[in-house]
Amino acid sequence: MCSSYPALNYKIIAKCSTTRARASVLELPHGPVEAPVFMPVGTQASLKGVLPDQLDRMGCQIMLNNTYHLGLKPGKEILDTIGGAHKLQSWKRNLLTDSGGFQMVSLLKLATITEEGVTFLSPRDGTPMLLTPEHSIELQNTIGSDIMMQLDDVVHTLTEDVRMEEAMYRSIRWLDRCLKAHKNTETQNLFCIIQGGLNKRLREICCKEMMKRDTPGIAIGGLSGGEEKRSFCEIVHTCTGILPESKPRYLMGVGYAEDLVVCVALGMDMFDCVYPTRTARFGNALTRNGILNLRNRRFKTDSSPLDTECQCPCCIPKEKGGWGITRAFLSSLVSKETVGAHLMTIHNTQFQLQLMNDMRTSIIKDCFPQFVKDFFIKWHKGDRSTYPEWAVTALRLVNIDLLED
Amino acid sequence: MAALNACYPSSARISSVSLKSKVLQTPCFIFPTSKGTIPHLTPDNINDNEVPIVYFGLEDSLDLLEKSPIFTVDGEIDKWVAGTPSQSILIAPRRSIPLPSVSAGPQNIEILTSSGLRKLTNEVYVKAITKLRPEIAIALNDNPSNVPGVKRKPKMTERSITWTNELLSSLQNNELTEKVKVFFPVPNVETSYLTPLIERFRESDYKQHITGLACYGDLQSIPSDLSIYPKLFLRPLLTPLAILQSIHQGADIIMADLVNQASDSGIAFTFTFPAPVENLLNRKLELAWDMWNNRFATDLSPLQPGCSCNTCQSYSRAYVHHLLQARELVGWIMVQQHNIHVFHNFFAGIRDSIKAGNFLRDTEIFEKIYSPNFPRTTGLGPRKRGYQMDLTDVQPKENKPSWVQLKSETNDAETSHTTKKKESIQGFQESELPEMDTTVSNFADNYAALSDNQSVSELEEDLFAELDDIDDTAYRESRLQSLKEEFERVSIAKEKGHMQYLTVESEREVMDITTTSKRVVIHFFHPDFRRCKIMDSHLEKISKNHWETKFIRIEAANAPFLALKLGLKVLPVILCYVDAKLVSKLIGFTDLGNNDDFDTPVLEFWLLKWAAIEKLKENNSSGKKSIMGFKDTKNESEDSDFE
Repeated sequence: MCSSYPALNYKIIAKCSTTRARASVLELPHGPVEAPVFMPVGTQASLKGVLPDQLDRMGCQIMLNNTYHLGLKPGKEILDTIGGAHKLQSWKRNLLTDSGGFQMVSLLKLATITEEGVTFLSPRDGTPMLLTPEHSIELQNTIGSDIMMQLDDVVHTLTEDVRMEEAMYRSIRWLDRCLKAHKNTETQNLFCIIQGGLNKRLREICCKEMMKRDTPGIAIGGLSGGEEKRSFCEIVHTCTGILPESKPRYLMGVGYAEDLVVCVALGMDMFDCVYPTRTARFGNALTRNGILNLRNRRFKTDSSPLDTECQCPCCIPKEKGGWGITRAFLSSLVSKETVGAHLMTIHNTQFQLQLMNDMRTSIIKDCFPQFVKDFFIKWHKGDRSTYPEWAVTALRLVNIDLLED
Repeated sequence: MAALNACYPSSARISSVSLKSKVLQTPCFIFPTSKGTIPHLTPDNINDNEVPIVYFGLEDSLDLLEKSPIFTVDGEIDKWVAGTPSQSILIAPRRSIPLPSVSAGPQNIEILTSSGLRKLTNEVYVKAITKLRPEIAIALNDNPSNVPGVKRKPKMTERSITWTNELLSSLQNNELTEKVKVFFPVPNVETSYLTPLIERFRESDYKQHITGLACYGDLQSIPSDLSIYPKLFLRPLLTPLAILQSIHQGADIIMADLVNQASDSGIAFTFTFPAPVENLLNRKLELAWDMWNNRFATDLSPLQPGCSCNTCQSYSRAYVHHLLQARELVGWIMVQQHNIHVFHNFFAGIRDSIKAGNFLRDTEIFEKIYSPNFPRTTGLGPRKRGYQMDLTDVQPKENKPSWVQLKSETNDAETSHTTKKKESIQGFQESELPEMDTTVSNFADNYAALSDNQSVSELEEDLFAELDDIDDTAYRESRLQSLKEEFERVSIAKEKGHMQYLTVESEREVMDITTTSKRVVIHFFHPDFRRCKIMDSHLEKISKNHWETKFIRIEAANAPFLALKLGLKVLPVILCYVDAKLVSKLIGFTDLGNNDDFDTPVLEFWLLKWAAIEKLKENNSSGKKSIMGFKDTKNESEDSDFE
């Protein structure tokens, strides 16, 4: 099962025999990306607190940059002169950029959306400005990301159907304009974004229309706004049922560990989220046994590592060549020293990458359902009664029953 | 230690200090850590060769260490800090460049831990050293930051000796003399006060067990009999030239504070020793570059061509510039890595120059070729750590030292002032008002201002002097108590990040803050709106003066829920929370006279109106005119209460 485009070869390596999960490889201009994959977010051309070479050493194969932020700083002109974002940050691996539309809308209740594009007040001087699909693609062409996203009409998932339908159809029309504006088809991929909120009918129409445009990859958008998890999973399940097997599927803005496990089972390949790295800076460590808030008093005297199973340098003891960082030490640094943020970010990023890698391995070995069960029991510290209902329901859609032995 | 090479007539010399696994060639530097970390650098970003030894101020982490198993069972400091395994650690009682210390007694000094002021007795300190077992320890010592009085000076020497003796005997009893090397703390007093030391150092005990001297005062005041010992110079040295001069005066080891301070300012070192031979035509070479400068925006060359540090090997000036501009954490990591590398090479150059007998000449050339100071930074540093202070040579002073005026007043009109105080004190006592009297609260304010001021403080001495004039012991005690309590409040407030104007990134954090701090002022801003910037500049000022309130800012984009809930359409918006309740909302500048040029006190007064701040602060009296001119009857009536 594979597909081939000038800047992307996609190959499925293994498929889970029970669920829709798949292990695959995206061959991109800056090397391979093994999926399922979590993409850390380097909003302003930098993952906060981690050098690009550190991220590379962690095995990260693709990072996300935000078009909106790069457009403001350093700006298109400077990026043009330098020759793109890879060069700016000396990043040898792949980059994915969003369209800039999401920030515009989430940031500005003041933005108005018309057929032409998104009108907003310029952050520089307060004058009205227009972001069109053409602008977005031009900027992303300048950035030179390996995967670009189309400009879409993002509305909150709970918006009423009329506006939702309008947004969905508009996103399709904007995809056509993006495709037309895209100048570097040999070196950059443009992914479409499925819209339609929590309305299955709209999502179905959108999937079918978008598929006709034959983009190298397909994203599902508009699903990270805090909507009910159950319907969120149903929508993902609906979409993965329609989308072609042979293309990478990217679920935008999703990155909680449980969500990742469930959505991989539902057949998604790519994820991004600022949560793991942002929460790290606030002192929350992700571990296989749930989340630790290191600002909690009890960690002040706790000399164990964050997660004994973790393979990040913070958690490996000094005797074994790691840094042997204790919870007590981290809790003394959190939100006081930049190094505290750096150590936590390294740990959480490694956790995300490791989680994806573990899922991939289990899919290849075809023991993914067992992995899912093991993951949930650990995450909930052995207490099944705390399993979220949405996860149980969603996993039943792909033949895993979490509550059965 | 063996002096291998001296460079007459300079006292600069080559020597070595043997540690567990390495030999330190001196002159060299010790890198000051903050809470046990080299600022900005995780262990993988530190090159062991470049930072063979770090300085750990026990006060940084004492309150945590005491509770941790490392302290109570048996452990070593290496298990606590995030250093690399081969890095040596020196423990001293206080931070490098500590906040002004206050009092000391025959058994203790006063330190500032993360949970506030506390006494550190030698008993606790000796226990800490025996448990933590650093490779080098500086014995406990009494070195006040202000100029000590005549009576105190001999005591300082006495205390150094007594406390060192206690440390040495404890190490002997625990068979740790081989493991922990002791540096004798030479206090900051004139030579005449140091003569008891000569006697002491003749004893075999000292000859055997003292490895070096930790010099808190002038190098010249050290008795020449002791000059064979390696000298760790603890005064802050903030320019390369100051370092060269101290080495010339005989310093063997210096503190690398200037590296941290430059890196925080986005200043990248470019100096070398000996200086490059260049025909400069009367122009001076820069010691460093301000990486905030826009001329680097598209510059793809390394920070310093030919440099072999990780930053220069992998990244460009354009990237470092962008990261600083975007205030990304990684920017400071890169500058710090580079600066440490340059600094390491600077010392290698110094040693070579001394070996070759050229040190004096090379220093003269260095002085001739380079600018005396670092360039001024045009940007902002990372978020300030609580105890951080200005680097006068690199950063412009952010706060005026508000307590200076008070002090001079005290001096000018001592008698009348004291009587007045006494009167007000009586009144205070009789009425038994629950509130703090003004003196205590002023001292608390001044105390709060201290952390950002590097200047030497005699604040507490002033207070004690004032209290000494009062006969009533009971009152004195209660006064001291209320001061302590108030100081505690200040410390707690600072612990929560008060007095800093911080940017938060999530609504969750906003919620947390409004529930943990009594008074919170939140600025919803847009990063590029001019009026938001105006608001920032005022709030920045106000936050520095009002430790009782937490001031934060959040990009409206990061708070979509709150923005929607509160119907925020126009920015800037200021929200005031008191006891976790929203008490007021300021939209735009409408309540401030609809004028872009409003004075800070106008805003301050608005905050006061809603009890978002406790009171107007004294040092803003200059701005009272504009308050008087404020056209709000409500304000005017309240105004009189504060005149």
